[in-house]
Amino acid sequence: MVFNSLDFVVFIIPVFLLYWLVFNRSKVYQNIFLLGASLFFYTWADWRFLALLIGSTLINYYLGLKIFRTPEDRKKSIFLYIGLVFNVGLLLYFKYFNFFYEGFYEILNAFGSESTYNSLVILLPLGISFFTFQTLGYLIDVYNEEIEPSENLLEFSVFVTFFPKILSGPIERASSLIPQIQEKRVISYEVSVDGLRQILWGLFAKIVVAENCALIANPIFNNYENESGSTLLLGTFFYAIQLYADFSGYSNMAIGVSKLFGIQLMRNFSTPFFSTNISDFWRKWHMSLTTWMMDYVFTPLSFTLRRHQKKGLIISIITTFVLVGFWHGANWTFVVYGLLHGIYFVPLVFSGKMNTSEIVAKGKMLPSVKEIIKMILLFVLIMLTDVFFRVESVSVGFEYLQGIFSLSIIDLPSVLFTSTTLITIALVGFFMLIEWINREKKHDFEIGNYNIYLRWISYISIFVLILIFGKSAETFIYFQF
Amino acid sequence: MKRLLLKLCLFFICCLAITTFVLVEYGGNVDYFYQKFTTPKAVSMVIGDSRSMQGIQPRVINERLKELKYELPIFNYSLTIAETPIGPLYNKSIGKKLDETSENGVFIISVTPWMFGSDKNNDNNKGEFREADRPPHNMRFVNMNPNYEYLFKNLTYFHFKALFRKTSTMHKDGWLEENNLPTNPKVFDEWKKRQGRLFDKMIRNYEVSSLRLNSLDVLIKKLKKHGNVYMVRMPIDLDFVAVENSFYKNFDKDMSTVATSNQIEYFNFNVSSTHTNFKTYDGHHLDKHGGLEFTNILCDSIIRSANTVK
Repeated sequence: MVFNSLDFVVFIIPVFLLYWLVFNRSKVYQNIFLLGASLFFYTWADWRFLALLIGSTLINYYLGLKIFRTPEDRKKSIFLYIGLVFNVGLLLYFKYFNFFYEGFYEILNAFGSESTYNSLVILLPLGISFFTFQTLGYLIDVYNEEIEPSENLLEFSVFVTFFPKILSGPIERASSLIPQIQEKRVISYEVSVDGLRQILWGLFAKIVVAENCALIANPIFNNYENESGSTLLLGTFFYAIQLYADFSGYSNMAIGVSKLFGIQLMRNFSTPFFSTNISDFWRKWHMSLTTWMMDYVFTPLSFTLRRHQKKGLIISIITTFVLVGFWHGANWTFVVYGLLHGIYFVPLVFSGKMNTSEIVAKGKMLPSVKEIIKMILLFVLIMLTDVFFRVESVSVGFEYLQGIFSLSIIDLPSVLFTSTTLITIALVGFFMLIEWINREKKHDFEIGNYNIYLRWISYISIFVLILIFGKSAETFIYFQF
Repeated sequence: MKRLLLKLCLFFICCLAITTFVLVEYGGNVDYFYQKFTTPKAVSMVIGDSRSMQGIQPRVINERLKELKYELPIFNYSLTIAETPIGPLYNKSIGKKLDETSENGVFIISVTPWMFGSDKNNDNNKGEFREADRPPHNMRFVNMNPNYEYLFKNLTYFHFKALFRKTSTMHKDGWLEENNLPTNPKVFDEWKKRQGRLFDKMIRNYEVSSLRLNSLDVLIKKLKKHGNVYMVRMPIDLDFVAVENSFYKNFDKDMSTVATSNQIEYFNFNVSSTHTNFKTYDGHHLDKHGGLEFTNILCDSIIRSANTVK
């Protein structure tokens, strides 16, 4: 059941009304109802792993309490390690088992062994990368005494399973979400309307921008051997936009739906293409994953390697980004994707500009020429790296890039002057324009301060664009992770 | 809460109003079938797949068959081979669209071998039909304007973008007019090759269903109560005729048998000497000019047949 389906509309309307009209007597009623709705939602999406989700919730709840209540540091560590082994083990088994299994045999064969192997058929539970990281973060925070564990199983279960973010995030932090669950939620007109705006914008991003870009990018990627360099470059442009619109659209819908239930999820994207360096980009792209990795991987690692100064910092960054890449899937392509992003940080480390992050052209209508050049260069770099996010193998990725940097890059792209491409370029332009206008705001479609006529014209215009240019979409790119 | 619900309702009303406007004004351009389910029940009908949907023009029949005093206008209730192969489901839908008060209608059933093909994985005797989830079988209402049921159940069929280009128009009489066919013969060759691959796939995956053949008999008997029934095999390229006949070897014989047993005419335009006069754009679909010519010739055949009976 995806957010942009009729099924979800049929699900969300009664859930919303029952939540506020029937189950709003106390936080306990609200939480019981939210848990029921969340489990129903997950069951509808994929009932086969409901037991896994429940099991993971119970074990992490128990471990959180044990870590907190055990006075001895050594025993605390043991419970934390059990938690780490359990959660990472789940991920390793369901997501990475075949990757390592095949890798092991390939190494054996490289040394002359003639072993054969058959990959196991392991289904990937929906949302496993998201809820596992969330519970991992929870256990580490409890261990580090940054938060107290949730004593209440019901509240903890809602924290893990809350339906708007269970399938594809944002990867919520216990310190932010649990306190909201521990309070009775009160409906706010402004917050709900803002949530609805975010849903509308997310819907537009997904079914208009992402799906129309996919229409152009997919055939190019599927037939890359026969396309000119310029066409391949155009394919990467549309894929980069597709990837962003798909996932940011999903995130906006998730955050918007959550607001309808009085719960604020963390922002996941903050107009990342308006960044002037890679560090700034990652502060704005998939923010819930990036901050998670910064807190639980990069910071401890760079602290450990601090004696090695810049060298230690570079190792920490590259390790973190390789893990960011690998988090996405058990494929070398994601490792290369992460590695390249890590490498892009190296010049920043040496120039001491790693912590530079700012809103481009803050308070101004237009960016400076220097900012435009920086943004374009960064976008091109990201766009080319996204090739590894899209292709099935590293060799295909390099062949694709080789195809781009051939003499045929000066040809006119074969698909440039089709009506589909021109319409999609116009839609992408509109999408980016609205993002640019709202780049300093809390989300991409925060228009609450506009006058009522302008607001309604905006809503209706977005609806008309969705009606005319929307494409049906049954899945999101990030569902596979 | 009240204020929120009120605003939400207002927003949905605006959305509904815009959607309704588009459906009413451009329903024939933004979906290939939508218009078929917005018109009143029909006293006379064309039944078939995409060949008849594009190749048989009701306005021509209405004009030409006036002299035979049939109850007109005739409505083209053909969809495509994916939606309307002959079978109990299509029969049921025809029953919904048929004006039961009709006593002297004219019913033209366009048949092709593929319309009797069933997926090898489907057991028709157990009620398994590949078309079951598609329109018009997933709908209760086939004569409602605007038809929101069709919109909600078949949203993926719509292509609202087309309202700017209007490359095809589904007319109120059920005829699909392609307005913007390319002129480059290479494109037609490519389309024909694609259709050929589709036929090869169907030959691999389909088998002739006796239940569908029986359904044709049931349909004819039902329609005969409301007027005269004619069966027609529309003209297609000869190489495709050979492909079709390899799928259903006794097709013409079986059709003739059904026609004879029900005392109706079967017009087979793939054996007549005039066959080569009809030019298709992809091997088996007539364009609007070819369709006009063919409909006139079909009317000639019907008039001739009716006069012979008299």
